[in-house]
Amino acid sequence: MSEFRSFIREEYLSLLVMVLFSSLSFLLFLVPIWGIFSFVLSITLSTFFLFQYHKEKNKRQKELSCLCFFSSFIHQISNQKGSKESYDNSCKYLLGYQEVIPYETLLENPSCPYSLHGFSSGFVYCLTKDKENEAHLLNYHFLMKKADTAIETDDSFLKVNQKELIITQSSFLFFMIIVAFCFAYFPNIRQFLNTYYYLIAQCLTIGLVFPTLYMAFWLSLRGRKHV
Amino acid sequence: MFDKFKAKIAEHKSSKKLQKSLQISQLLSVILGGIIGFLVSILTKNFAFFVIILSSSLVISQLLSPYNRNDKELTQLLEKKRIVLSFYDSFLLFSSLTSSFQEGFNQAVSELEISDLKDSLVQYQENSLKGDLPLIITNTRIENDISVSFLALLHDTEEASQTDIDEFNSLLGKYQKEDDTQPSSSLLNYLPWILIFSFLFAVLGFYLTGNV
Repeated sequence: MSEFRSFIREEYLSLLVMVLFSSLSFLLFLVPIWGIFSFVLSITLSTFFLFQYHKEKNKRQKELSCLCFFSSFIHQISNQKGSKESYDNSCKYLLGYQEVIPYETLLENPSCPYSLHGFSSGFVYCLTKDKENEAHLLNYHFLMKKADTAIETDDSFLKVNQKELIITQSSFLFFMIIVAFCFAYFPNIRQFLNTYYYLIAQCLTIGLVFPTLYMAFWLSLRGRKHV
Repeated sequence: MFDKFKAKIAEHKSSKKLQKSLQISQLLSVILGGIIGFLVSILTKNFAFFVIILSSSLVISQLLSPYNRNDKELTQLLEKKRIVLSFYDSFLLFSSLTSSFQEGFNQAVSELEISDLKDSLVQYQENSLKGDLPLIITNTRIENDISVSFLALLHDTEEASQTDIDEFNSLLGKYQKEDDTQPSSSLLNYLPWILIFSFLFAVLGFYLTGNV
């Protein structure tokens, strides 16, 4: 339930645009029942795919926060700060995304409870070396460079993806306003389209535009490879 | 002989050229479907044909995608490559941390999950790094370059310098790009536009031909 609430809170703009788009479909039909069918189809499927997109985006943001944590951790150790101090300072990136495990617990049994993917083994190795008081003898240069590149790439991808979604949604809404205007200005189009075949095709077309849009964005996020 | 032939086929399948041509054929099938659908719907004066033909061409275009085909050989090959690549990554990571390629190699082998590759690498370690390197799968040029560079680092380099690490990393980057398995979502992104444009063109077509 809390996830759904955060979905509404964070994606309200997308939801608003989607509802507006779906509502405009009422203007395209002479018989309101077809408008209702198209509206319900669009709203139901769009909400489902937008929710999936939202979940995937949150997962990616969580992974990004873990990467920021790791990068900050090794940067600080490399700058000769104490391992525990570096860890505690870096945990600020995890707040709100992931439960923070105390450093002592991790040091006792070196493991990686965070979504670090390709960097997990490096993190565990750092902990193992710290247990032997040798963490400061390691050379972190390559690891820092790699982590920073991964953060930069992931961050820009997420931003571009979100920006693209907003632009595409807005252009669809703009497009729909023009179409609705045309249908209102030339009422004979609606009369012409008032046959069974046309109504089904029109209903499916309008009802599936936003769901396919959200599905495409969800899949593009899901298909992205980890570092 | 047969293994070489299979490797060549697999290499060809994962080549960029083939992926590009598949993407073009996917797009062409959608455009062709749209045109045929439009013409048929004009001739039969039935818009339903337009949607049916366009949808069929979309399905065909998705079937053309190599990621939607159940190609066991290619999947196995890509999985093997992924494991080898993750081993190289891990080797580089530990080598940079310890500033020693030999130690990096030992650590990367010990970090590997129990598998045939791990057994072969342990055996390679026990043979004092002599014999065939068990990290070659397709025998491509880039793979050979990597193995030559890897052996040079392992045998001849005492200390892991930043330049060596960066050079090897850039080779790995090329190797990774060679079998980029990320499914193309570009066609999917156009799907809503295709839907809305097809609908509008059909309406416009009927309107202009005086069917209204």
